[in-house]
Amino acid sequence: MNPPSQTTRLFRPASFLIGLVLGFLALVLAGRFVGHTDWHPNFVRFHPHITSETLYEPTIGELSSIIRANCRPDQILVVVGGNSIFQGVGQPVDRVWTRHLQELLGDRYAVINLAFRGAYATDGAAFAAEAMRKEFPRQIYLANIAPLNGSAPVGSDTYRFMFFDAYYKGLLTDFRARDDALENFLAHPHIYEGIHAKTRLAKVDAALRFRDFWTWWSANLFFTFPTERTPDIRTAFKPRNAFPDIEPDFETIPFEERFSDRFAQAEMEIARNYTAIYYEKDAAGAWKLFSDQEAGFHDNVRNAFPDELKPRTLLVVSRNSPYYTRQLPDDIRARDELAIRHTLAGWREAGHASIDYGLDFADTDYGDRTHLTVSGGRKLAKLVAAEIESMSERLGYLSR
Amino acid sequence: MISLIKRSGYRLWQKLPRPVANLITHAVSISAGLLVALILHYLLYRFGLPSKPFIYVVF
Repeated sequence: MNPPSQTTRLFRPASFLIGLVLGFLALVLAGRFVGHTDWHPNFVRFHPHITSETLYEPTIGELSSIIRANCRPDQILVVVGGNSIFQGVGQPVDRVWTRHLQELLGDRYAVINLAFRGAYATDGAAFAAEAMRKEFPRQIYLANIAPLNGSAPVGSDTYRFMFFDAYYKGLLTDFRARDDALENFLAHPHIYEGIHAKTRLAKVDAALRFRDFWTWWSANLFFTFPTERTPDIRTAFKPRNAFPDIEPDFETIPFEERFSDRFAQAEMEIARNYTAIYYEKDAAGAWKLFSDQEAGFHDNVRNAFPDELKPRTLLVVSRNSPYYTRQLPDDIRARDELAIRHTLAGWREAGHASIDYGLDFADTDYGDRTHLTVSGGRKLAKLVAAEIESMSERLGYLSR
Repeated sequence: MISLIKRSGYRLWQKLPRPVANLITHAVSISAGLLVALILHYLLYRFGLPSKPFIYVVF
């Protein structure tokens, strides 16, 4: 007969603790492992089901693994960042502009599109490229920007989780302006809600790797909760890698529909005010950049990227569709062109490469006021390819 | 019915040789530890996610 104590010791605290520690250890190791594994075979770009739009937050390890899987050491790495324009909104996955850029540049280069909708030039793609600076020293980073837009060295609020990820894992180079921007956030927590909690979690994650592990889990096994875009049981728990990239093709939508009166008023308003906040007219009636805007822009540009990375960084300045700009008064068009010239000069003076696009584009090259159709994407790719080749020559990438 | 199952389970448990019962209690406790580790690890991930998704708007 067994003693009665056997029934009272069903729970063993020491074994429980061993299980807890072993479990954490296994998850940390698994997180470290998957953080160095590419889980996006045949990657083309980040579509909404693998971005913050559906509460899937890609990790820097994930972006770096995509780079590693798609760029051979003998190739020149070309990382494409920026927003929806460079991500290729309105261009189906098989005809997105970065595919054409790859064709134009050839096998000597590996073009990887890591742009996100609504992102800054200094968001995740920039941090991933920076994190890979030693592994792929022959690299070019490019992103699109609007005229006179600088870019915060800590990225945008939406995608700041990628900055924290890279920063607290020690993947970024020393950069005083970035440290100062972070210090400023920490000292003024009302500017960025939850900054202290987010930084604390990012520091813990650097050790425990829960973001890498559960993001991998969400992509490959099942997503763990419903979101606004995946509210029903059929989609809520589907692994995110099971969702295809179903970006519609602007060119299958009739032009009259894309540029219908339904959008015209709002789009014209945006086009009219594209550069309005930056300029005033002087006594002679000429456009003059507000001095505080000018100082702010130059300050932003100087502090957007670390000095050592500026020469390999290409900023591409966007124009609005000629369908809208053609309808603007001459002096507003002149102001927009002046803003483009000031923007190019600002980025170049600070040590980056910079080009613009859209001046000779046709109405049909735009899918809406700002995004490009496949034909517009092909024209953009041609301009960008020429500049990348010229930068590669300048940076000595071709002589190796 | 439930009390009958409980009673039968209790009797079965009492009949187990002590080393086997010990092994089972250790295995159950370790498994519970592993499960709690999994849940805590997951909760850390969930705490880091925003409550609302990013809504993309073109400007």
